[in-house]
This record gives sequence, C-alpha cells and structure tokens, in this order.
Amino acid sequence: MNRGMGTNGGRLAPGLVLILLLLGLWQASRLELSGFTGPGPGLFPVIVITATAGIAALLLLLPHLAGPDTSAEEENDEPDRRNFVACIAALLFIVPASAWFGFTGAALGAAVLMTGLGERRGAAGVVLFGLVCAAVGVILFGALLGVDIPRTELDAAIQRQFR
Amino acid sequence: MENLILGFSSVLTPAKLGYCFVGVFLGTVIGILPGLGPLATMAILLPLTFKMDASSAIIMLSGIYYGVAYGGTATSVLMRIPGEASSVVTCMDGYMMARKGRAGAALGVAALGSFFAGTVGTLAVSYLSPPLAKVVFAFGPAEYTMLMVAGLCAVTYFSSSSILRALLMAGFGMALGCIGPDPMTAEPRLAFGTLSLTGGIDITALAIGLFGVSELLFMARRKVESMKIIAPPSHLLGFLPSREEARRSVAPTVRGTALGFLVGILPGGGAVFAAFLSYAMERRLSRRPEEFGKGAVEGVAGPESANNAGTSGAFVPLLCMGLPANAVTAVLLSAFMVHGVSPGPAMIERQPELFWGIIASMYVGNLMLLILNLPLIGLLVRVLEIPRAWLSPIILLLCLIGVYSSTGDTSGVAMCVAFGFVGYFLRCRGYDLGIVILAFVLGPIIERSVRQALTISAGDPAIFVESPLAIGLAVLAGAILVAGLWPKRPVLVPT
Repeated sequence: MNRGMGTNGGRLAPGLVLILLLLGLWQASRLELSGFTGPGPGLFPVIVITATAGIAALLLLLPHLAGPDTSAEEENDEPDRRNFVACIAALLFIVPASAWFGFTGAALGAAVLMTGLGERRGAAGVVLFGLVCAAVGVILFGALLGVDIPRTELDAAIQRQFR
Repeated sequence: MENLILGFSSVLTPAKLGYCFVGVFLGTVIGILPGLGPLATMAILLPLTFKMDASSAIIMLSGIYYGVAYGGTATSVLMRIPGEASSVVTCMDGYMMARKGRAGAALGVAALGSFFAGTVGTLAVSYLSPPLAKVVFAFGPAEYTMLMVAGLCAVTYFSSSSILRALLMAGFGMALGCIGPDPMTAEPRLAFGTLSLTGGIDITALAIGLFGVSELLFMARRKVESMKIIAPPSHLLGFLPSREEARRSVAPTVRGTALGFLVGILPGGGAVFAAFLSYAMERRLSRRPEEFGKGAVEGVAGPESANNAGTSGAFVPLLCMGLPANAVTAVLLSAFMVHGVSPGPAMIERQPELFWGIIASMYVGNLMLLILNLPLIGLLVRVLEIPRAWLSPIILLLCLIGVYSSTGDTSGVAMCVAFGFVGYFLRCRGYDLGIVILAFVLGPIIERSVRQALTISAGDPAIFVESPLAIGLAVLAGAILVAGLWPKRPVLVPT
C-alpha cells in the first residue's frame, strides 16, 4: 500500500513538517538576528527554517512536484494489526517505565505487551523471557559493562551483587 | 611509515584487539538483522564505548562499521535479505550463486574482495589524508561553508527520494540541529521553554528513533513468514571459490576497489552508491552480461569490493576535514566528539597516535573480519531463526539501553520514541531519513562557519562569493540542484 502517491497523502508529510517549522520559526523570531560582534543566535535558524518552510509550502500546494514515491517502503495489504498495536503500546510504555519502573519493569512490560499480547505466547514463557531480558540488561549492561540504564531500588540492588 | 608503526603500536595491545574483535563481532551479528543497518547499530552500541578511552572507543566503532557491512552480505547471499542498504546489490547474484550450491564461494569472494578493498582503501586513506589535511588550511570560513553546502546538495542529489523531498529533509535536519545551545554564545534556542530541549536533541535519540524504532514498527506490521536460510559450508575450504570463479573475480575486485574509494570520498557517496555503480559497470564490461542476476560471480566481487572501499573512502573527508560524507560517518563524527576528539588537520598534528591508531585499527578490523567472521558466519546467521516474538522486545530493550545511557534521563527515551513514529511516518511516504541525520550533524558546523565568515566581513554576505574557491563551490552547489530537477537523475535505495 503506497499511501504517499495520492494527492492528500502526498500533502500530509509536508503539511505536518510545515506546522513544526512554523512553531520553530515563532521561537526563532524571539532571538536576536545580530549581536555586538556579528550575526546573532537567531540568524541561522531563521534562514534555515524559512527556506525549509518555503519548500514544505511548495510541496503542500503542488504535491506533484515531489515526484512519485518510488522509495516509499511497502506495507503489505494485510498488516499484522494486533502485533503493530502491541508494538506501539510497548513503545509508549517504555517512556514512563524508564522513569518509574526501572529496567526490570520496562523489560517485563515490553515482554508482556509484545510477546504476550502481540504474539500470543503463553504467560509463563513471557514472564520468564521478560525476567531473562531484565537480568541480562541489569547484570551485563548495568553492572559488568557499567552502562547507565533506568534503575529502581531493585535494579540497583541486583547491580550491587555483581559489581 | 613511521607514523603507521606508531598507529600499530597503539592498536596491537590485547585490550584494543579485544575491542576491535567485539566491534567486528557485534557489528556482524546486528548487521545480519534486516533493517538495522550501520547507522542504527552504531547509535545503539555507542553507549558501550562511553567508559572507554577515545582510541579504544573509536577502534570498536570502526569495527562495528566494518562488521555491519559483512553481516549484511551474509544474509543477502544466504537468504536474499539485505541486512543493510549497500548489500542490496549482492542479493541479486549472491543469492543465485547460493541457490546453485555456491553459497560458500559467494561468501568467500565477498569476504576476500572486501578484505582486499578494505586494505587498499585503508592504505589510500593513510597516504592521502596527511597531504589533503594540509590543503584544508587553504579553506577559510566562507569556503568551508560553501564546501559543506555543496556537499549537502550532492547528498540530496543522490538521495533515494526526489530532490524537493530530499531538500525538505535536509532543512528539517538542520532545523533540528538548531535546537539547543547557540554554538557561539551557548544561549538556549528553540527550546519551547522546556528543560529537556535546552541542551539540544541527542543524536543517539534521533538516530535510534528514526532508524531503530521505526524499523521495529515495520517489523511488527509484517506478517511473519518463515525465513529460508541456505546453509553455508561447515568447513573453511568450502568458502574458497573455484579456479574459474577466482579468475573472473580479480578484475571486478580491483575495479570495484578503485571506483568505491573514489565514490566514498564524495559527499553523498559512500558504500551504497559505490556498490550500485560497480554493479552497473561490471554488467556493462562483462563478456557475459546475460549471466547477471542469475549468479554471476562478478556481480558479487565488484559491488562487495566497492562498498568496502567506499566505507574506507568516507573516512578521508571525516579524518582530514572533520566533514561526514554520509549519515553513518555523521554518527561516527558525533562519537568522536563525545570522546573529545575533533577530527581534522589538527588531529593529525596534535594526536598522531590516535589518528594513526584509527588507520591501523582499520587494517586490523579488516583482517579480523576475514579470519574470525568467515568461519563463524554459519553460526551467526542463526540469529535470524530467533522468532520475532522474542527478537522484537530484545531490539526494543537494546534501543532503550542505547538511548538512556546516552541521554541519562527519560526525556531522551521520549524523544527517541517520538522520532520513531516520525521516522515510520516519513519512511512510509518515501522520505530519505539518512539526510536528516547528516544535516543534523552538519547544521551546527555550517552555522559556525557562516557566523565566523559574517563576523570577518562585518556582516557582508558577499564574502561567500569573494574567493575563486568559494565561487566555484557555489556554482557547483547550484549546478547540482539544477541537475537534481532533471527527471532522469540516479536514484539509490534509502541509506
């Protein structure tokens, strides 16, 4: 399914980019364009954002100028909706999880959402898999390699055992 | 030669050889996974290097860069699935050779060609970089600005999407690069009053989001089909090409090496473009063009040599000028900066052991790839037999570790996820995201040069077209953009 080929589909991306750029332009316009020693901090952002917004507006008004979507990545006609939704849920989950539930919570949550709900694997296997992922992350990356990972008291306690 | 010995003396220690091996090994394993190319792999694995000294970190990242290229080749030959963009060409003839029972020969030709190209490319880097670095001193801020603008125009020209789409992505990337502290005064900009944007967007969050997370979404959408792997040889001799295959591979390997290196130096060039050009050239020069696409060994030897030589060639502008030629070297540049290293002419003079250490590590990485990865490839491709149900959460958690360890807080994870959705949306509509990363890294460098030039000229923009060099580069940039509007320009697969 190549959604970018249609005129409306072709307008969506430049339209959204244009909105973001206009927000950026609003922020950039508050900065000084010139300072005591030369160009100010606002000059370059204003030039770049204005020029890019011009291109986005052009593509919004005349979508055929963008040319055909020869490189648009194909999406199969019958997507795996359940798994796709589970993946989105897991992505949305790991943001608060990294703040509040630590790596162990994030790993368990990702396993439950993606492997359990998305791929319909059995509960025991999912929990075991989540725990193995959590252990590898906390012990190998957190404790042995010294990589900074999201931590709760539980993660920190496990790490201390292996340092 | 003395300098190279200095480089080898800094690399040939057990610890650094170990880092090189880990880089090559991890790069190969992750390069095997479809979709996770060198860019996402390096961004995900970058935090592993934070605790290392600069030279070890860069040696490991260079190993990853080479390893990913070889991992992509293995899946192209054994499964017809390119692990990364520069291996797309190898799918055509490499897979057909495998189906004819010549999988080992295809992998062997690819590995030997890559080793030859990588070694010659590295030799060329070591001999070309010092004199080229001296030329760089002739560049003032205005010439530097025009050089980068011309380079960015060249990248948009060779993009997989139309030039207007590519320019939109280049502008979008540069606008993202403007967020954060002003490069001259450190005044916060475009932060929308939020603390998380005050420090700017982290390149790891951007790269992992645009490439790693968006790939997860694509993986999740696809209906699962069982992957068929053609078994590679179980013993080393099985990787040797026959006498006829070896004879037919020599000339394409040499041509691919020369072409790949030259293309790799060019902005927007790099491994992908080099591989495609080499394939087209070999097909044109071949006495048996009808065999191409049906298992011609030249179709493996040429592109595989070209993509490795292109990888080496891309190091020339990076090491001599501090300018990334493509998105992957842009991430590598940010890795240099994380470790307090500023590549460019000054690095050769002030940190010769680091500069020559990188060159030496490229030799060692190539050798390691040949000696260790070839026998292990049969084992490594088994990674693809891991069901998606288990693989997807592992990739997600690797992305989480990569971004969290780089940004150190949840806002980085949130940005990464947001960029993942943006990346998925834009990839569905045919936008080339490699340009976003390159422009994001080049933007602040261009801005610094623009402002230095305008400060020198007391605000007169005519400084950008004063010297013959600047005029030449400006004309080149204009010509590239005009040529880009031509309907029949070359188009590549996404980087």
